[in-house]
Amino acid sequence: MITGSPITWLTDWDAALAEARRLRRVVLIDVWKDP
Amino acid sequence: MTYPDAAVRAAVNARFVPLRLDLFRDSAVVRPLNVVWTPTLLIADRRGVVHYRSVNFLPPADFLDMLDIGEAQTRLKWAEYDRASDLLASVPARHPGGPLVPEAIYWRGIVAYLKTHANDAMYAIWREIQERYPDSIWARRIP
Repeated sequence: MITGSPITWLTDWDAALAEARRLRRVVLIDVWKDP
Repeated sequence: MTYPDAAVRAAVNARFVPLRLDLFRDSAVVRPLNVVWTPTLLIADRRGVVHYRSVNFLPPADFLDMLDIGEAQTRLKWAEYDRASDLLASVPARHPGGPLVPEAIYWRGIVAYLKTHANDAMYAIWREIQERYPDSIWARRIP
């Protein structure tokens, strides 16, 4: 069975892009709205 | 639900930078992304350019396929063809019969062309769509 820690979502656009550059990853953006 | 799924969590944590934006609270950032429905999932490169979008929810198995296709679309724009091809090949390998499989095969054909500039390489891959998924919209996109 695969286990996975909860997803830790960033909430700042610039911080996410900086992290993506640092890790050479792509960004998964979840656009939602408060219910 | 999708995010509580262990395989989805593992894939997101291992390969992506997860960013959650509120349609209204983050409107200055979200407005240029042309989002009209929530949730919308976008896959973007490290410059913030969006290369793939998926509207509303998907079951975990399809969500994993979407992640692979979306990351592959992003990688191929950065000429990371081998990585893109591996991601696209993983969709039918992991989830044979999944609804996104023809799309993954189609894009793997395009990646093969971009890497080799050989039509034969692309059509050899696309032949699988014509043979196994002749009624899919992706078969109709083969000239």
